[in-house]
Amino acid sequence: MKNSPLSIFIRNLFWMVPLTISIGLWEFTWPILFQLVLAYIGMIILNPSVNRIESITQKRGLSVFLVLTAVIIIFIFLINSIWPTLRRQMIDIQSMLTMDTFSNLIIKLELISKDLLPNYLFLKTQAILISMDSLFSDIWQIITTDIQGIISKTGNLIFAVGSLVMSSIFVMVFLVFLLLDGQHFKRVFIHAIPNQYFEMTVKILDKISDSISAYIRGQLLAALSVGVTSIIGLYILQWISGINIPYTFIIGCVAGLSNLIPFIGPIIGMLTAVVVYLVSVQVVPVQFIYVFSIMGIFAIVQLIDNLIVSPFIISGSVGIHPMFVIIAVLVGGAISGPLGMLFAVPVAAIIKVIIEELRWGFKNYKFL
Amino acid sequence: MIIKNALWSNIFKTDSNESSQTILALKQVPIFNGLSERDFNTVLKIVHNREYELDEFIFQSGTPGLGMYIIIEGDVVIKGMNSEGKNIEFARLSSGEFFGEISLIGEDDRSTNAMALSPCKLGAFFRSDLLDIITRSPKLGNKILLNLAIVLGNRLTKTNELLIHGEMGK
Repeated sequence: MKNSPLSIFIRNLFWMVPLTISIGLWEFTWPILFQLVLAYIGMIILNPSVNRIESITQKRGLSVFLVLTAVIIIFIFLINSIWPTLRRQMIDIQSMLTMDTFSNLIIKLELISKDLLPNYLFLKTQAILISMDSLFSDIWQIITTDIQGIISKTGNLIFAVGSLVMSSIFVMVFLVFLLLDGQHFKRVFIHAIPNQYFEMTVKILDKISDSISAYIRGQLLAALSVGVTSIIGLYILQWISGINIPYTFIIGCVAGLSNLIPFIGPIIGMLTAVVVYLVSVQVVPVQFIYVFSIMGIFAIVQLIDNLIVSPFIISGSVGIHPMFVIIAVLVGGAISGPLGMLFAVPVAAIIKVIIEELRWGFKNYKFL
Repeated sequence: MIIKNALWSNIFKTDSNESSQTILALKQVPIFNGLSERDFNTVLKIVHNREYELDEFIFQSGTPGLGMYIIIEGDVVIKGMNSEGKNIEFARLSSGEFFGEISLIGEDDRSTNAMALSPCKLGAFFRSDLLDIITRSPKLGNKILLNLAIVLGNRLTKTNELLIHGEMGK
């Protein structure tokens, strides 16, 4: 009997066994799964290019080879041109994140509020700053520890198996297989599904894969656009005003990455730039007009992103209520710190897409 | 390739007999007219092979239409409601024939039920697969689309003839 529970169970063993082993030995398997996720994201990004080249060459293997070669060349070029600057800036920021810098920042904040606010308000602000000193210093301590942890452990975090080179090779191998045989893997999985759920599974998998691909591509492009426009904006501001905002590349990266978190992300990018400027500026009293200029630059960046870039690249937006965004960010933070906060919203969005499509499928195929 | 034979084929076993049987059925379908051997191999990689038991539903009316089925082995009956609300049999199809091809074009719900009249093997070719072919191999995609247009055009002509001769609904 093809559709007996035993037959269905046996047909599904090929993915149930690896999944059970992966969950059971999570401690050892998560780096490999993480590499698989990276490869999957790589496939989502590169698949359209591979398809386009395949439509000309008519050979999948050759198309994958050409696209990956181009990616490797671009990657090497970027490493040679941008990485030294980025690395230097990362090391500088690491050494800058001390408690001295924090007191320096507080002093400058006091100076700015003195300039900006009427005397009675300034006194109140100062009192608040002093009374909350320990709280602020605690927050600073947490942030600096986390950021230093991220910087120093980025390599371990992303590539927990062996060396960076070895892990990159694994990701690359997974990526090649996914690009070459992604459709085949999907077909094998679908083959194991009972007839009753066959059409529904095909439809749901297609819809989920389309939505997730569009979402990830859109988010990455939006992050890239915000990162690049922030860097350009900050350079223009420095050029016009003559002020010095160090670590522009890092600020751009932070702004781009934090843009993955809706509502909160843009503020994180802006605050990073303001804090870096305040900490590094030597001129006292600080001219608050420059602080506002930096904020203005980030407002313009967001304007460009929301009005020009996002409408074109993010199709079928995955809307999540602001309250759930905050909950997701908090849960992500509790699970794995700042990185968890960063990826919480994309993960929540993907889970939402899966649940919505499953609900759609079960309803339309009359199982609900 | 040794790896391909030893490892890959064992994990994702494909029966060569089954493949040739599927290709044979595909060659009888007008939608795949004029395709080269290479084209057929491309389509073969995309088609989902399914096996149905006697009286098992292949699809039911009211569910979203995904695409067409090609009968590789066995018999299938297409049933639906007529204008008077009676459940009637529209067609009995056997190996080499196909059904559900309108769903390759539109996303409308199925208007009929398809049920296995005997244990049967079917090849499922869906709209998403067709779109994938159009993206990756536009030449092959165009051939299939043109054939599909011819099939649907012929069907329209026949329907018109039936209407003109007043044979519909009798």
